[in-house]
Amino acid sequence: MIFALLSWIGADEIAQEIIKEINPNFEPWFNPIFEPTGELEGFLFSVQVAIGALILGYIIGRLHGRP
Amino acid sequence: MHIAEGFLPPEWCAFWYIFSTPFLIYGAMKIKSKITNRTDKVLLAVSIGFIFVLSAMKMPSVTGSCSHPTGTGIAVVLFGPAITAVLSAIVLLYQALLLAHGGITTLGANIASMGIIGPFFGWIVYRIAKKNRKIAVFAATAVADVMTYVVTSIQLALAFPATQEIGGIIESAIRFLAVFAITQIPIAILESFLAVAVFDQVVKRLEAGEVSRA
Repeated sequence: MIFALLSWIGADEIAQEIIKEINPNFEPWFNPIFEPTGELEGFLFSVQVAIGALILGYIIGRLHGRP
Repeated sequence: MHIAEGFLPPEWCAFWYIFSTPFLIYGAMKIKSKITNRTDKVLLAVSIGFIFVLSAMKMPSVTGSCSHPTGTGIAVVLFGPAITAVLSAIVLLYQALLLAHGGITTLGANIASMGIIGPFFGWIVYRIAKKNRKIAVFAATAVADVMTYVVTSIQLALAFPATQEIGGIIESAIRFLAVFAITQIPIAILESFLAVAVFDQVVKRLEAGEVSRA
């Protein structure tokens, strides 16, 4: 229940709001070249995890099997 | 969290790029010499694998906001801040280009916080606590993580002081810290447990292998 009340938005988004409070005139002067949509973002994040986990798993597995 | 694309004024973007570049060059040179050694090659792969996994985990925290660990603990403990800077830069580039997380303009600043200054403090802690390796890795990882966000807060405060005096920078820094530091502490502790587990598995086995080969 409590969890549903909280938004769990990114700390970076909160920081962007603070920036706008401190300096209301500031506009981001450069926009991301490519911005994934929600679904794609989740996928690309998991690809990042997969790359890392594959490396870690391969190495630990190999070391484990070493006589 | 990294500083979002376009959210640092151009002069600060340039400043942090200039700050980070020498570390990247030195780190790349060091990697080139390390990679010829088989054990170091394995450890380098573990280091970057850990950063890839950890820095993609957006986790909710006690403050009702979410953030992600940095994963730089293992890298800095094994190789020091210069190599950590290069490894972090690879992940930061991935996130900036494909995830719109962080950014190209703020890449220099994000490398400085996540890859250089944050891990540097972790490295110092590791050196001090070296006697008990598990505790040292734990503390170094936590410190590297939290200090990354402290540096980010200071970077933002320097660019966005509340007033035009020194006090304004401090005031802004405290505001950013209130968001980042509190969110980050539980995440850093979680990350440290993971780092110790992975470090222990890999390094212990590598050392055992070396002994048996000798």
